[in-house]
Amino acid sequence: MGDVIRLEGICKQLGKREILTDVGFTVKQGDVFGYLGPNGAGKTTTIRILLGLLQATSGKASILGQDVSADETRRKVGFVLESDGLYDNMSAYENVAYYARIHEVSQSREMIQRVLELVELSDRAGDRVGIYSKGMRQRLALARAMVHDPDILILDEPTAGIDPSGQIEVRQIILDMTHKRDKTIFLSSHNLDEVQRICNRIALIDRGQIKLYGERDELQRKMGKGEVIVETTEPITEPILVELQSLPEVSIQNRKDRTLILSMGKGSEVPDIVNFLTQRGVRIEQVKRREASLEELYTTILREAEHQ
Amino acid sequence: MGKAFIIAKRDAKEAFRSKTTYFYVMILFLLCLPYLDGFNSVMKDLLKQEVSATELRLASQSFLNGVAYTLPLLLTMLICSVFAAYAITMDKAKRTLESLLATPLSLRQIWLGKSLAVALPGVTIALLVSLLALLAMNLVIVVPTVGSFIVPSILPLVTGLVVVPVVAFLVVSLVSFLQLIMTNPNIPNFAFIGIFIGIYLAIITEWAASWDFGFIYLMAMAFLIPVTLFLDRFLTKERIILSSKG
Repeated sequence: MGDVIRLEGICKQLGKREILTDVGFTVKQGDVFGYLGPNGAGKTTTIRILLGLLQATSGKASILGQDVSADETRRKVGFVLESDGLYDNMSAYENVAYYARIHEVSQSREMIQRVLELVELSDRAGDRVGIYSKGMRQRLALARAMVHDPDILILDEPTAGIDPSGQIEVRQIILDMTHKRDKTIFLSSHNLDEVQRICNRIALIDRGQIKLYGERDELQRKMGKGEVIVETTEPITEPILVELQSLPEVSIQNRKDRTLILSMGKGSEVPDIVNFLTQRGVRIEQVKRREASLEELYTTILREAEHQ
Repeated sequence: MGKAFIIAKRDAKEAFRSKTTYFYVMILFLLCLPYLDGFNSVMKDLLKQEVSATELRLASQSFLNGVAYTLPLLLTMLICSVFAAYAITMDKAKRTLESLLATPLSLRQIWLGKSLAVALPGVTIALLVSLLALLAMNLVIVVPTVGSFIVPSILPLVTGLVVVPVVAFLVVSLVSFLQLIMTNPNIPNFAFIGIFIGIYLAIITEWAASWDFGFIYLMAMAFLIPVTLFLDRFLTKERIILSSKG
């Protein structure tokens, strides 16, 4: 899979303030890339650089191999910014049609209908946007972002300020975009649950610096402190547990009914535990590594950064 | 150019959705009344002095020439201040401009589109009202006193119909530029009001009676064209974004 978005050593200084310091990451084709960070971390500045709205003080930013400052690059990009940028006095249809004209969309009428149907707003297409709820506005902003069928969608906190049902709807649209339409999505958010649900790769930015970057699953596993959850058909007897604890670098963290949480050091392996238990007649139902939740990952990294 | 018209059309449509625009159009008509009144007084004085028909005709022609020179620009400046509020001030406040800047449109297209959104409807309305005022002056004053219609001379007419729109567009471009890069886009909008008040005072105090408006407009054009072209290099998306709130 090729790189769709590539940032290398991006620095951004505004006045004397350094907003971004050596920011670099790549987003691959088909990724739903979560860009996490607290308020003021530099997420919006990064997005503005990606959209050619701000110029990096140094470093290189490209989309599909083209420099982000080229007007041509933005033909391949759809976006929803922090402020939805919709015109309140215009209808939903007019808002989308305006951007279709700007993007010179051929067969625009069909395309507008299609994107409005996709976000389930076709029955309200004639309504003035000023009366729309926040959730409807975000869905409409997504429709507008997709009207020229871009390869990449850049979304700046697309579910911020929306009620839970609205968030689910927007998330579903984003997932459809990537799974059914093969779009690459760059999503900035501080909603960890959302990122956990839809993103396969993440970068965490804090005070203008990337603190963590990679495959979400892998990062969560790495940060999982080597804990393993073992589920058995029957509760494990006390003598076996005592014996288990005597194994090198294995300790029981928690035990409840048929579930056992083990902490394992670098010298111990999961297959050894499985062998040990089966040899003693324990029937195992499931063994899985306990991953760090995104919340744990986020707070650990930010706490570490604070102490640096 | 086509993309600039897309922006211009939308912004102008937005302005016409507002009642304020129609209120200002009414004010434009009211502003023609002092002209009508002034013209009426001049003609009454001349009639009292029992001047010849030729002198009456010449005086009428002279007054209407003055109207053709000044009224279109006066009205254009006032109505442009309203359209400018919709084209850029509101776009910046509601942050719709940021989304527009993130599209493949070039900065020049956006600047041109915003300027056209102000200048095109502004000039059209001002010219229509000016022509209606000239017609009304003819119907109410000229025809009853002179006996026939009098059209302004060719030079003031061409100035009013061609040069004034160009000057107005250049002023609008300059104001739009400042609105795009300034944190408070209302401040440059005062330029319209400033020019409006300047022309108005010059006319009512008869200070401008001896002015050659054709020459003044050409000088303004000679100044504004290079200034506008020069400013083009200072317009960047970053300047616009950083001058917007949020």
